Amino acid sequence: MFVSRSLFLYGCTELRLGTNIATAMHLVATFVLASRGAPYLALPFLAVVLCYVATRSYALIPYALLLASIPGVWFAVSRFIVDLALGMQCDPLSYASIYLVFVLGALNTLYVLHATNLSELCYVVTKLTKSRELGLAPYLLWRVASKIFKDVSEMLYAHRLKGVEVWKSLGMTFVWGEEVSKLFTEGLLLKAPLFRAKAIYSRRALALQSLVLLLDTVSILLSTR
Amino acid sequence: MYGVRNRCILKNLSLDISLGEVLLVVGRSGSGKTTFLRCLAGVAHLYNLRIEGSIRVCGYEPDPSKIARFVTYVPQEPWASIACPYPFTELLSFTQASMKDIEIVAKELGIYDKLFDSSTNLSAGEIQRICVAEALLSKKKLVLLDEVSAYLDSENRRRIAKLVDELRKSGSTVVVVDHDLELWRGIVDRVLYLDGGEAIVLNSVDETPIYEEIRRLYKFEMFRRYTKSGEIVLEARDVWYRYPDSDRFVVSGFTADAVEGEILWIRGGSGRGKSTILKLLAGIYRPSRGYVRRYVEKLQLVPENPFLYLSNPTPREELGSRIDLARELDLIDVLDTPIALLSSGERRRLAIASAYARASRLLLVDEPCIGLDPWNARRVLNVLDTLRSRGCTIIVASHSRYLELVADRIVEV
Repeated sequence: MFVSRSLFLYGCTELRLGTNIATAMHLVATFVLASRGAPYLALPFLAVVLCYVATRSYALIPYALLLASIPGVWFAVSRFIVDLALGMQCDPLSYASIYLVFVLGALNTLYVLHATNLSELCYVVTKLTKSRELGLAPYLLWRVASKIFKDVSEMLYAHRLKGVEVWKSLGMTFVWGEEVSKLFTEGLLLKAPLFRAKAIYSRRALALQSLVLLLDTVSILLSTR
Repeated sequence: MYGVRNRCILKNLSLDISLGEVLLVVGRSGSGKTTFLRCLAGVAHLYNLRIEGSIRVCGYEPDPSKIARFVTYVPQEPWASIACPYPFTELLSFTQASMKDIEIVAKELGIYDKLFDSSTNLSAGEIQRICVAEALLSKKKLVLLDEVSAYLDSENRRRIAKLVDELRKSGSTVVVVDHDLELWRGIVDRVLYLDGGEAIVLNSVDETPIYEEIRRLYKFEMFRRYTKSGEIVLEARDVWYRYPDSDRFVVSGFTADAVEGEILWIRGGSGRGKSTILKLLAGIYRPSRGYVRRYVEKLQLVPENPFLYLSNPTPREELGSRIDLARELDLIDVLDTPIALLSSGERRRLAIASAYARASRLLLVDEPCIGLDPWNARRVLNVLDTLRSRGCTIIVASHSRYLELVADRIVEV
């Protein structure tokens, strides 16, 4: 449910109307800064939070933080166990640093998913492949994924009350997935060849992305000193 | 038209449909209505349907690559014809319309506020209206609508009928499969009645042989009411709930008691929070304010899509030792049929039977009649009535007027 909520909570917010190039650049900057230490991720993190707030997508922040904590805790605890096993000195500060690096890194990765401009992606795919059906793929993938996530959540609720074993629920997920695939094929066979990709942007979203990139650049410059 | 194992579904069908005509296709469940539409839409091969004779759509064989620019097809499960994650992108990508035109049509259909929502979070009725909006904006020559009013409340059914009339006036041909004959009176030009593999073309809905039969199904024949013990099995007091991504409360101040052996109907139009209320009553969501108290150990929730409740490959395995329920609920002939091959009505009855087998005191059922034809809807009501007679409390969330036939009490939302 957390995965579903963190990815599909909102409809089309302004966050999704920027350009994927800027989003990709931010992701690269995040990885560079992560390799240089947690403090350098502070400004990009603030910029991302500002984007969520400015586009009224506040509810994404706690869900994304929770999801991002999973790798953070995993790597911090792993490092602690290794230090313990090797008889090395345990340094809580270094574990906290590892946790922060991975949480902030994962959070910025999630931001990329929240900020991906699907219309631009469809447009690019259509131009590159010269195929309308293939151009529809990014939209369709997102649509089907959100549908499956929602249906599976509903299935798990009902199965939980029913006392069904997890493996059975998983089996039913595959059966339902097959049915969804068949129904979408029926519903879209006539439509797919007529798909016209249109890249949709918002000036405000582009301005916010510029701010994020500016803070990324400042952080990188600071990290080189 | 032949189906699986060469079963003849329709024979000797000869028909010309003119430009600007509205044709209503009616018939009992299994008479071939959807098959007919699938053949026109060029999706027959997906269901292993074989056609003898010829079909020409706008002068072409029904090959999707040839007829796509002339035909809009809205299948029985309307959500399956929405390809984009947001309605406004759907309408921009598949029509030549501008955002301004889209907004005008969306306001007419009452879906303006939903344009930027996630397509997945729309109700079935809202999705159907998006599909009709697309049909209007794309100005296609032929529009095929399968069970178009099955998911809609009365207000939206009338809206859709009015819009089909507008489609006809704009020069489109519309072929509608539906059972609500009164809705289409005065709008359709002809009726294609299918029965026992045969097809008859009629000039009006009054001439339809099953007209009286359908009217009787909608009539207020009250099921027998049983005396209640008065014991409360569930109480909800001043329940409020808001989704994390929303500023407004989707449930505000809901209060209700459910008494043993009654059918409590939570009634409201599309998007009023009925499904959310059921999840609150089941304990899946926690109220933002207020409380829900359950006085039974077990309860079951049957979702709007009954498939999501099922967890076994066949009805026999789903019901386990309760094969007696299969006999009572008319599932005995399909006990060993894979659930993927069951009809919507059979899945719905099976889900309710399975839920009852696990929690015979309290069931929560979301939209039990939605998407069903009158005959199957009536069978589901029979099931609910049977379970009520055994002392089961059933809380139903629905906009369907069929529930008037069985509900003991109604809570409006």
